[in-house]
Amino acid sequence: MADTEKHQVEQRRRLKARNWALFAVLAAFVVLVYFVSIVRMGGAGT
Amino acid sequence: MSETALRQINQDEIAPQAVVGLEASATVKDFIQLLKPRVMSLVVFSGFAGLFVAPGEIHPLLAAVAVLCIGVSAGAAGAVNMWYDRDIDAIMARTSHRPIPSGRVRPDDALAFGVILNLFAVMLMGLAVNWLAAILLAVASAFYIFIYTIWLKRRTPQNIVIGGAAGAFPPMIGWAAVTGDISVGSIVLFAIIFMWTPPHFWALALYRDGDYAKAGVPMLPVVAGRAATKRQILLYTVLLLPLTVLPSFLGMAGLLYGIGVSVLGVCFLLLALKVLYSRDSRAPRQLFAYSILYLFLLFGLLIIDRSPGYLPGLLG
Repeated sequence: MADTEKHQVEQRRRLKARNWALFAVLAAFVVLVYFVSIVRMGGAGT
Repeated sequence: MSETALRQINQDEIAPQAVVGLEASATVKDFIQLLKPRVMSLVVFSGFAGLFVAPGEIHPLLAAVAVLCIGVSAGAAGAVNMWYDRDIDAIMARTSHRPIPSGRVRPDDALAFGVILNLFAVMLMGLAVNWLAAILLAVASAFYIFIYTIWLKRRTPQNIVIGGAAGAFPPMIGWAAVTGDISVGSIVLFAIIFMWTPPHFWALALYRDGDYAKAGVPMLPVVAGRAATKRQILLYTVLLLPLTVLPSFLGMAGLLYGIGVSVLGVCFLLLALKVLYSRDSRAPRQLFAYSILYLFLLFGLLIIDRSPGYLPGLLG
């Protein structure tokens, strides 16, 4: 029983870590698109 | 071993897409492992080298985005490769600890992860950099997944010769990110990695042939024997060396690269000869390790040689 609870806590911890990682990636993507747009609109591309 | 016999092994000994992780206990690290980070580092480096030596200019941010897309796409293709090969990965000692065969990541999750990341990388490359680079990125990924992983890998000992083209694309993509075209220079960089791939993988296969035989993967040592593989390694090494000095003759690089790559090439050749005449697994291991270092140093020399002001610095 204790093992099951421990397992569930661990599962929740991993899920939470994955969600935070996904959030970080998406946030970084938004920032990246913002700066790429500025560079492209400024005509500083290739 | 005949192709029929290998098919028989596949059917009899490998349960269809056998090992499935039933627990969603994957950590972030497991998903990073799906991207084959070590392979990705070489891909990113060669892609950066292509970008760096290409004639023309690119905004540093767009250059970083291009390199990011090359790395992410290669990693994503690796994740799809792990999804498809999960049955044979479970059989081979070298790959049995990967996230899918060990049950840490569900196969469907790995597939979705790989496909979504790949689409993301190609679209970002197209929108931020240029569409030729994006198309080449998509072709490289498709080649690795469909031509190498699904079609060739389990069917022919020429799998890594033809499939090696997938790994040869990154410098060409980096080059296209800057110039928006495909020219002789980028084709030479492509050809160097294409010719480097067979000796690299066959050296690995020479000391992992038991693994490949067990999994029914028709690598050259399994099908044609160790002696034939060693001769083929030497042949491809001999073909590789003249290609590596071409950047100097084409004006893409100077004397430093020319001399450096020649010395590195002689070492490669000596190790290939050592493999040919040795009977143990030490020489193939050395060649495999050296081949990775060789490619890093080759592209490193190319980058240093093209860096503005390196000569004054070296000459004091």
